[in-house]
Amino acid sequence: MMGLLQTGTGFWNPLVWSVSLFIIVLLVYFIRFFGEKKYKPGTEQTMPFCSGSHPSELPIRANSIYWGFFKAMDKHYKALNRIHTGLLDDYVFWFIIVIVIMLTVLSIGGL
Amino acid sequence: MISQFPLLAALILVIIGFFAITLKKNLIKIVMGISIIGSGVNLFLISLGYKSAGVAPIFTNAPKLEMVLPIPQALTLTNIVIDLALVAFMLSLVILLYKHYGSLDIRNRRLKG
Amino acid sequence: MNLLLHAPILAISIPLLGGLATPIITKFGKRVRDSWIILSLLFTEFLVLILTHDILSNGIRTYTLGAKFPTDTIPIANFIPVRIVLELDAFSVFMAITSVTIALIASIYSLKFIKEGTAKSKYYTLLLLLTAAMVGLVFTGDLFSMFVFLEILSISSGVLVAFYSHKGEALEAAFKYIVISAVGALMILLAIGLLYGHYNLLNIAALANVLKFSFSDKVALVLLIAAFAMKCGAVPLHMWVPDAYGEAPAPISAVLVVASQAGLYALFRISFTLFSALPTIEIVAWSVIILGVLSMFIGVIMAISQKNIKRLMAYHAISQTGYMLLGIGVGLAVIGNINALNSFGITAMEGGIFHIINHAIYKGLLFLTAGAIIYRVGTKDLNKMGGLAHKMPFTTIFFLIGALAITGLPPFNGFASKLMIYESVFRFSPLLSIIAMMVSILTLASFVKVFYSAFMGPKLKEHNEIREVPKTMLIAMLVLALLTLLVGLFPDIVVDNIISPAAHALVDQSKYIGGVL
Repeated sequence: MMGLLQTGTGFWNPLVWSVSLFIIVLLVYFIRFFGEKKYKPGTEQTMPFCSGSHPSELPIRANSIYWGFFKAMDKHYKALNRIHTGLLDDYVFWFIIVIVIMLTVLSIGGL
Repeated sequence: MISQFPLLAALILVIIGFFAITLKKNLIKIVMGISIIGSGVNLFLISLGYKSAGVAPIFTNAPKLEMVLPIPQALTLTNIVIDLALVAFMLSLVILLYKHYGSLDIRNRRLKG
Repeated sequence: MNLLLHAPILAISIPLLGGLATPIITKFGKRVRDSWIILSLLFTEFLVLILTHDILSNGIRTYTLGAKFPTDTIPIANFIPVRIVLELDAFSVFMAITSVTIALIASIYSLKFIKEGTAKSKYYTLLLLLTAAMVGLVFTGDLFSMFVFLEILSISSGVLVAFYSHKGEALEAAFKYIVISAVGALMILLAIGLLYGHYNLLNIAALANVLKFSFSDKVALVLLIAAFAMKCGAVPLHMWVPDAYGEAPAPISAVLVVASQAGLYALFRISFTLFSALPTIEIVAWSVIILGVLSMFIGVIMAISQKNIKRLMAYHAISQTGYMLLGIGVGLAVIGNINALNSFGITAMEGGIFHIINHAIYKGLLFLTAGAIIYRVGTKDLNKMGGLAHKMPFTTIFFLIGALAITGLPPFNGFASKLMIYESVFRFSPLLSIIAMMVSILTLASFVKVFYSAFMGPKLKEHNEIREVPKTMLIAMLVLALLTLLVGLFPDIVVDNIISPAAHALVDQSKYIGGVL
């Protein structure tokens, strides 16, 4: 049937997936129809939720997104940034290192 | 061993060129390193086609001897022209970089990380 | 004149002629120049499409330059092909379609993106030269002309990276790019010299017939793999990629992605067609797999922490190249074992090759939306953007489609190729598949970061005068978004008709040799 992609161990049919997604979205709207329709405009019910901080501190800049992740991995990021120096010498140096490693592995492995 | 000498010289030139690119911090010395590697590869290609007691591969009024292989000479000519274009472009970038930053040191970089 | 017979050489020479004639055509006016560019690229696309149709029904096609009749590859008195032979099989035309389509869309986008009075006709000349070099690289069947086309590609894309020459960063990025490309290309020439000195042959098919895998051949293989891996941006040779992609104009970044995949094509052509009978091919395959896994992982970790939107997308390009190296590396590892090849090897290679065209489409879309943001806002820094969804709704939708496609969410095309790679690599080694899935999650995290900080949030005061981008730029992005959706909704049509013949053509070495000899 159309749209069926075989991957050797399974299959994937995006048309069937889209049709079922559409049906599920219709179901979700149907359930939402029975909810509370009234709200009080102008109070806190219409403000975006910022996990407790005041909405006037928005917008959150890109520097502070995922700050927990970056603080935990700070040591690793310092090491990575020390390797990415930006000097042209080191770019060619890595090229020579990769050639030397592959030559050693291929000559030892070929024996 | 003597007949392998051009190949050895080509290898030494390539190694010297790599030393120039990896260890020097001046932009013009890096461009010179690329030119030296190019010369080494050209020498390697030309010396592949050697036949002992051979003449130049030209047909007009040729003596009845063996000719050296002509294909490496074609490869080398193409490579000389390509290296010319590369070095010309690199040197024009060096001129513009000097006009912007006032120094030829590669440690004077803005893009890192 | 039989167009199909001469189509291989026309597909290389029409962009070349069109590009070099552009400065003269400019004298007739700007509209004449714009239509000249678009017509040349449309004609090249038409030629590549009729070639695809012919090769998928009839098999390999060759074209000998300079012979009396274009398909006689071996002159009567000799037993080896002595002229330059263009040899087209299914993998070559697949790469050619990808390259010419993305170049066409990028040139439609640059009609309004590049401002007038900034050497725009020379920009178009270089872009058409770049297209000719990409098509020439994938069509040729000769090692030395592969080197020449690679050099043309490096020089023309290097000049395009330095297009904004009033800023120092673009010059620095172009200098790094051209030095790296020059070193790589000279090492490729050294390897070609080593192979020529041993066998006196430069044609790939004739060389594959007589290769005996001595030590100097292994040295040549290592030099070729390292140099082409540097050209396509595999870690640890990747450091030029964020600099060059980040400082080029946005449509050129989209075309540079496809130019790097041309290096990937050359890598696979050499590993599969020349060296697939090497007894220690597993070591070579594991090196390619390790390069792929390192690229995926380090690419995405460095990408999360970037503040510059184009450098972030460039690190993601490195990470997605790792997926292609992983998929096709798994195929290379099991090429001697016919049972494993039929059960999961071919699927892994199909996943890797499918990922090439998917990556070109959605990464091109993402770079074009980044260009649209830079065109209106004027800065590349993510810290200075915010709330752009109020002013640029179409760009937001296209960015959302591109971001969902790159992380591999259904129903877009990223999911189909990633599913094939995950399932087949899992049967080879489960650890690699788990690393690939983790990388996919981190990709989603970094694109949520970009989407939130650039598009979501309240309107900013300093972005008051921002409107939507001009219509030609929107049309170019719309075509790519539609391609993402269509390839995602009908993956089986693409895989069965274009990708599967390409994977089988790569594995089948004897058919490639039989095309010439």
